[in-house]
Amino acid sequence: MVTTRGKKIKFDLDTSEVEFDDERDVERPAKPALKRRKTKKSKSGEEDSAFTPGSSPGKRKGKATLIQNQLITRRSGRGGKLRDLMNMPVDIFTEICSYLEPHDLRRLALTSKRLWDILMTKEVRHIWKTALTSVPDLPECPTDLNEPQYVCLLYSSECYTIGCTSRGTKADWFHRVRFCSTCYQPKMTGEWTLRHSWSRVELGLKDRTLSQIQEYFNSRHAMRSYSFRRGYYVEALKKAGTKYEALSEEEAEKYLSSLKERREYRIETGRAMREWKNRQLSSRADDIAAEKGARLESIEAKLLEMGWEREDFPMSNKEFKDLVLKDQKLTPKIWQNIRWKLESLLETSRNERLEGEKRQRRRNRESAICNFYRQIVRETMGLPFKHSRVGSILPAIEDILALPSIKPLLEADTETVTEGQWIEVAADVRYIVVKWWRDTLERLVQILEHDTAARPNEANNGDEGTVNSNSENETEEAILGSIEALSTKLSYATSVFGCTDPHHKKMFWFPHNIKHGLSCHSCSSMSELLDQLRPLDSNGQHLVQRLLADLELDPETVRSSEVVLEDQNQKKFLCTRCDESVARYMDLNDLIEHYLDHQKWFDDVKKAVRDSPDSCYPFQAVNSELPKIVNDHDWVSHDALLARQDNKERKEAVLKLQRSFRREELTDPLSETEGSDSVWSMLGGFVRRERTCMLCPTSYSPHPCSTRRIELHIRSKHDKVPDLKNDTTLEIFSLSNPCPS
Amino acid sequence: MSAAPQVTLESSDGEKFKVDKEVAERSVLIKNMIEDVGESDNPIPLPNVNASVLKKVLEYCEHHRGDPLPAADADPSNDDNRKRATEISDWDQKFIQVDQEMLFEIILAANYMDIKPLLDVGCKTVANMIKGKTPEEIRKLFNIVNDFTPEEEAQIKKENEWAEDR
Repeated sequence: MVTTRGKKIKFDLDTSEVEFDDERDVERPAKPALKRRKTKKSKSGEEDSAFTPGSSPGKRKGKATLIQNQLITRRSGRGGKLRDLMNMPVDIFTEICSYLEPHDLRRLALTSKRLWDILMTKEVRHIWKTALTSVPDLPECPTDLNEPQYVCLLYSSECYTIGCTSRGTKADWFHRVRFCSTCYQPKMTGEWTLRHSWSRVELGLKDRTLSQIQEYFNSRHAMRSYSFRRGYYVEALKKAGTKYEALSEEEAEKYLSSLKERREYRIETGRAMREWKNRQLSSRADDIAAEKGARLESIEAKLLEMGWEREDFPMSNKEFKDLVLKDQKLTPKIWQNIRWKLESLLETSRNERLEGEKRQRRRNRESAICNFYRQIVRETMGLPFKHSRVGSILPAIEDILALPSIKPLLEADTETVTEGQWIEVAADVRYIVVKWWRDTLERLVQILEHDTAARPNEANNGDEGTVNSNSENETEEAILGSIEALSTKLSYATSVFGCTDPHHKKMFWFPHNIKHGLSCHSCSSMSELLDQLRPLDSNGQHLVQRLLADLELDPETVRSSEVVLEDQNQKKFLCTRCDESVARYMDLNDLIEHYLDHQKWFDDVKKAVRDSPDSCYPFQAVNSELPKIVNDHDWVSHDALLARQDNKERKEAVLKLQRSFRREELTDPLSETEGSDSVWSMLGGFVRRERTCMLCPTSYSPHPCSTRRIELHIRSKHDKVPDLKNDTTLEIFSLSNPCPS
Repeated sequence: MSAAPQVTLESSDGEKFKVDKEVAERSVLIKNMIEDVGESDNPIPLPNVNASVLKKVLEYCEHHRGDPLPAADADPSNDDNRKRATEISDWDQKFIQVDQEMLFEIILAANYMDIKPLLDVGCKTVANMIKGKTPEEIRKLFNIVNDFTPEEEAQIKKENEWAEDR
């Protein structure tokens, strides 16, 4: 034998016995925890170098030879490799063990009872010691632990509770135990719990005992380890307490001082262990990261060499990540094992990537076509405003993409569609667009001409993008010609559109009606937009005609752009039906609305009086003569001018008159008896003394206003000389009143 | 120039191997036998080593013929550095890449013939096979039957007491 330690161990599976042959006196275990082996004193003087491998026990002549020559014998029943390892002479076995690290030794010992028995004897303590000394910077094994216990505490992550298989444990380096979170609670206790008598009763210790020994068992304070909320290991406390109570006073004193020393020693060694473990964990984490990185690098290099591209690596794929990012060196065998799996994943990933890129290229081409198409639409429509939502009313892009000339552009697997490619097919698209625009303009004209039967959503089911098959043979030039004619028709000042929504401005001209539909109604299609537009009724049309005539404009030729002004400051038409001292300068749009509002007020008042003549005049006696109400803005039956266009001088004169009127209206002619218009109210706020017309039905009188203004109202709306005392009341507030005065 | 002295080795199955004395003397057992018996033409019997294993062992000795011999009185248990060095040279690694049965045979032969460097290589190889494996993996590797009952396993795992202290 190369190494002899004067001891041989014989295994015998048939009898489950192991014989110790030791030249020295070996202390035999008194109470075997497991099914134990018989031990014998060795026969001294036997040669152990006469080992003969391969020889069977049957060929030996006597027991001495058997023990000498077959130090470890195994039954060959189970056969295989087991026999080889277990048939080794014990010295070779320990030689093998001496190359193992502490954790490997423990794991080897845990494989079977026999190996446990071999490795858990003091005879092989040197193997454990060697293994421990081979670990760099490892603190020496504390005296209160044996080497296997030390290895278990340092390396194992298992919970120390018997039967618990949890591995997520935390070590208490002071008490030399490890517990999982579930077992931690019953096994450890805290200072707060110990203060309560019930917990002391549970421990079975006297209060005095606890107060004496307690301080030596708090690992939390001792180790300054505050990640644990409980610092007392119940079992240790109980054991020490019981021992303390059994001692005499003198012995107890000595015991306490030994506990104190024990505490100091445990703090010192526990901290060393903790620091080492922390260093280990941190270094292990670094090692793992480095190993993973190295493995990833080697795999990447191999895959790139094989022709795969970095973009194909599906790093978000869990299966791929698990194979690649592993803290295991990439050996040729491992590479052979994982290669096909990786290639299959890469194949899938590459296909997905290529498919995605293809989709993206198609989206790019679609987007390019869409942009070219919109450009054509904008050029064709020639709208004066730039609105990002113009696109929403265009013919469906799907129809354009489905065109036979566009399809090849879309299906060719190119990055995008170039301008050159587009020019070749633009004519087809332009033809569709001009037809669509022509149809739209036609519908607008139909709306103006009250041809509701031909409204787009009713006549064509709202599909404004479809091409009329009847006009398939029309040339683009012909269509453009009709567009021009229709646009001219729509550009006249008489081409007024009304909005159905009462909250919006009421009058629109082309193309502002489209802008209005897009901005105020958020129309998503042209048919929806057209649905929001209504033509003026014949009365309204008459009003427009009259206004234009009164303004000395030719209704047949004047364009909307001449009379409908964007700039509010340039309003130039004055309503001649209002008193000049309060009349406003407006553009055509406002004038129409002004007359329509007055007409509406008059109609509403007449209706109110007709429906409830008495109740709408609470201050009038029943059956008394009701106040007269006239429509001073009646444009149908009166021939007087509706509006006039002033030159600069005349306009200035009117504005001067209006300024002096506003100054005058601050003075109340009845101020001698009722004070001035503006007073401080009793409530402390500044309020105006204002009057309300009593000749109008309730809630139809103008908002409380100055005396001057109410006089004008009575003269114009009731056609009488104002009698302020009888016809008006002095008021502070009046809420709802639609009177346009 | 005279030829190097040679010796004949006889395996357990009767096969004879004629090798240089220098190569054969890598084995301390053979070296001692030659010293004790003196040079002779008679083959040296190696009854515990069969031909295939002996051939393998001689291959190792041939390759390492010029290497310095380890000191005879070196106590391996005190040589911590030796324990640490589990690395095996490339040639040795290739040499020891054999099936497990042959590996164990080589270890036994090296032990019997007292060829310490070869024994070290064999032991290191087995140790490397064990390293980093879980008990279950080790059992599988060496076909070891787990004869612990779950209760026993739980008990011993927690106690970790020396057999003598139980």
